Amino acid sequence: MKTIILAGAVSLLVALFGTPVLIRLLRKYGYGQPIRVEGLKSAEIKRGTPTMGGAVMVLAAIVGYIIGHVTTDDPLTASGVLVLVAMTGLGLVGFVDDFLKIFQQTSVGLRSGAKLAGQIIVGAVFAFEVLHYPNRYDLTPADAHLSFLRDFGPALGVLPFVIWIVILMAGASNAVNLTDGLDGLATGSTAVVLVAYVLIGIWQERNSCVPSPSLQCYQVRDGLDLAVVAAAVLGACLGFLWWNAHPAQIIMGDTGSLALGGALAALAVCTKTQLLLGILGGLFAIITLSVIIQVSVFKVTRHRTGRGIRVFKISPLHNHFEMVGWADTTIVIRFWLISALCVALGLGIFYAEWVRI
Amino acid sequence: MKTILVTGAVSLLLALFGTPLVIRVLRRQGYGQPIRVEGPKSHETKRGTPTMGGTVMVLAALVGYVVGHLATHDPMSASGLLVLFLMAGLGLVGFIDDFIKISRQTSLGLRSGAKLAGQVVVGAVFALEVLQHPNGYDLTPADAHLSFLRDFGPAIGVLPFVIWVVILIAGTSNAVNLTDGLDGLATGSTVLVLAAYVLIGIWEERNDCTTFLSRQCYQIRDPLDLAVVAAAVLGACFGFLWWNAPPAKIYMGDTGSLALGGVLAGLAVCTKTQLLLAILAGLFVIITLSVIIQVSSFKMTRKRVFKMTPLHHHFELIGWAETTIVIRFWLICGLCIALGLGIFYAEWLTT
Repeated sequence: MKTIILAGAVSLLVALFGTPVLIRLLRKYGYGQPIRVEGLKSAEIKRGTPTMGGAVMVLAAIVGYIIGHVTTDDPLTASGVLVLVAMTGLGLVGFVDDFLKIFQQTSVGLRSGAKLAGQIIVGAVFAFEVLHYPNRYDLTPADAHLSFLRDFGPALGVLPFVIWIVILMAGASNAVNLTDGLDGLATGSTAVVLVAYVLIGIWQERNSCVPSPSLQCYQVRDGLDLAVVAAAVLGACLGFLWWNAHPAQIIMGDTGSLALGGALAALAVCTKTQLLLGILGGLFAIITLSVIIQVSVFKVTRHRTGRGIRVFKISPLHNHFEMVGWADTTIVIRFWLISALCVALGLGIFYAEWVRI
Repeated sequence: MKTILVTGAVSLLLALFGTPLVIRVLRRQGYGQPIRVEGPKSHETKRGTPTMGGTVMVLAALVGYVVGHLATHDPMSASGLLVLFLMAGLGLVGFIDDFIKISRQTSLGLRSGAKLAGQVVVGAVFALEVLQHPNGYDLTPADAHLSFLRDFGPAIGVLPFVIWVVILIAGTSNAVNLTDGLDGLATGSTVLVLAAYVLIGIWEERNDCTTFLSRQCYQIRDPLDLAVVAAAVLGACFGFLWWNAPPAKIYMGDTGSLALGGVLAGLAVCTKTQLLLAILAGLFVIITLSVIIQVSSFKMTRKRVFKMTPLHHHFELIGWAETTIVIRFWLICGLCIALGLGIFYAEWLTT
């Protein structure tokens, strides 16, 4: 419990005071975010806002996690470290992408094939490793199963499991990346989902099978330490949001969005709530669906009739509402509200299943 | 548990779909918010935004509470009803104030003496009633005690208790009123504090002395129903915030701010966390303190500590964007709540 609070507080402070230092550095070197070419007019004024803010979040979370453990003499765990590895690995992929964008001053960056390859490698390493490291009760950070509120169904076998986890991680990190289009939107929404994972981790620890097996108990290797990781990333998000709030003084960039998506997916895998993430992160799912719907409807109708139909004025969804005439801040806050409702629904289902059994 | 969810969902939907109706009605009547003369210049643009949105919140919360109970056949409780009475009563005081402001088109409204008198009367009735209505275990909604994480210290007698609770209620409702100066600021911050009270109510129910006697157990008459009330108001705030987010389409007005302050104080009294409220609602305390410091420093030394009070206007004049202030203040509010809940949980662990 103490570790959670310490890790959260330290990473909050590191992000809160580290971000302005980074802003100053990036400004000095003229590293701004180039806005995508076909985007909205209103986005053009953001050229010059420093990006790669995600680097602070990743560092703050790692420092918070380590300091939290060192000061309380609480040992690091395999699950916690693996989640941080997934986050850092994807953050690195995003960082290379951001760096190329800034260097070439276009918004294209890493070719999408290379970026996807990076995501797949990091995801596959995570998926393999997560099946190792049994503790003395022979629990590994995850099993080769699908999971919703717990593991369910038959064992998948290693290869299908790895493929599924890679898809989950690539999906989650790209979803956060798509969501990161308005000031504070992705940061705030991720923070809300991370609060849910702090609670889930604590709950799984309190009802862990290891000290007291019961019908309702959870087979999770390191519930409490996953709450610590979630708190560390949460603290980093909150500290960063201070500067990322509208009008943003810094943007997280792909460094941040891929890292945060990776952290969410990895937490879902290790807390054995893979499919629940689709509800908790419902906002990200909706925004991603809007892009999929837009693209596929356009392609199908163009193929059939020769003229493509657009469901939304533009996707991702938040840009659609921008075109409809909602103010930026209105969209961000309303989307946060939707995200919070998704989290309330997800936690409600999680708790209801526990009560029922 | 089900009651909490049904109640929260109903009041959320009511506020979400009711608020635009109120906006349309108020617009048609030409009822806009008059902006105070000495406020920041930029607020001139806010003239004409409909106010009194708090009425929707109060009604949504009341209906949500009733529907939630009817749908689950859960009986209502004395504590829950008293908190809702306090909310509605203070909302009414605020409503009269708002109404006078709108019809005269000044930002002054009810004279401050009359407004305070209204708050004192409603608060005193609540404080007296909360000591009555024992249940089967002879528990009343509150005892004549001070409370922080539970009741502590000696019994303080009825009259001092009533005076103390009146001060608490007037203080809280005025604090929310002062905070309600930027789009969404008071609504969002109250949402966070109410979320804390939902958790506190559930926790006190899970560790209730009447079901499971232990050293750590809580002596609260209706903890679960207090969580239901908190969820009802939370849902209402949430639905209202959809429209109140910057740039706001409607303001809560004194109707809303006094009512919300009343709910927070009422919940604190009945969950026996009177002093903890100052930590949970730390943002409101800080903003109120900024006004007290400014006024007293000016009176004593003729010097201003802040460029303008309440605190959020100070930051506006320094050059922070309005939305930046709102979101940063929400973050501060969230940290205060994390601290308050941390203390609440730590005491339970160590008892």
